[in-house]
Amino acid sequence: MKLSVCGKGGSGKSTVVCLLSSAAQAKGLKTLVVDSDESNSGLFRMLGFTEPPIPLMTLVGGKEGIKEKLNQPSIFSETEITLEQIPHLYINKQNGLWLVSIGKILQALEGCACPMGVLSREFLNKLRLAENEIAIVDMEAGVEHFGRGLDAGVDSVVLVVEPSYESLMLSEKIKGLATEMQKNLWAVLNKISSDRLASKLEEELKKREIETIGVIPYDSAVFTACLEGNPISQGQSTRQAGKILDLLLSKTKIKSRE
Amino acid sequence: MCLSTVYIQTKGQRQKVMQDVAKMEFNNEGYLLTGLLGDQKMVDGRIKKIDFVDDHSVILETKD
Repeated sequence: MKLSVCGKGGSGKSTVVCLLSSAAQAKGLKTLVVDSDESNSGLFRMLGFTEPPIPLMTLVGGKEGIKEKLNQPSIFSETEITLEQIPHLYINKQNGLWLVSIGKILQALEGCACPMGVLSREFLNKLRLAENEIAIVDMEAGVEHFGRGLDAGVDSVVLVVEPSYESLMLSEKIKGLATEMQKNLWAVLNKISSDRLASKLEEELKKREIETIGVIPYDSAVFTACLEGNPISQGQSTRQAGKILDLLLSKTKIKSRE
Repeated sequence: MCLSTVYIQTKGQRQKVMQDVAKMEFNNEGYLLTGLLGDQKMVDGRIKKIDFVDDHSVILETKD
């Protein structure tokens, strides 16, 4: 199963990616996290890695030296890409968790991020997973990834919603875009301080025909981990993520059989 | 999307030649198109239109 995690900037996409990937590992799934956000650079640390992987952008000519060193054709010339086909140099591995990064904007005036969008789209389209494998994609903030067709290659879209008017408004937009692309979409509420707030947001989302699949509570341990760039420790949030993942797995299976 | 899609047009009928084109070089045989992922294709024709804003397309017309 391939999941993309999207939403407003600051809503907690990377946090939800980390929580879901941790839940997937706990279930014994081989878990690939795809860092498709060309701006934020701290995801590797939140996943427990000490170094970021070399971006896949270098495979298509970003850094010639590395390409020559590998001395092998790019995986992008294949019709399908399996986890085992990704060259070791471009992937971080640890306890069943794999991380790849598409690319990052590194310098001023280096040009637009369109090539990274194409690479992300092609990678997700070609990625073939086995039954015991899952890919979780950390998307860039906002909606441009829909315009670039990145979500075409995923099975379901997870929409992270924080308690703000902007987040709700963007949710409505994202629901429309996902529907246009014929993608399943479920919302995960994040930074939720009370049941009352959760109900209010769920109600607002329901009005926009968006089903809420789970609630990540306001959790000071999560905030501290995000501030320090550390993995999130086991607690209320990780337990909730486990339930959300179970629902996502069962709902995606049901939808694919329809 | 900044990368272009190249089309060839014959008698008003448009056909896609390549998408995500990163480079287009003219030589004696026509245009050599190179895609972002390194794929290449030769196409012969005359440039009729390049749209830099809306659909980032290059329309070539076949030579009669």
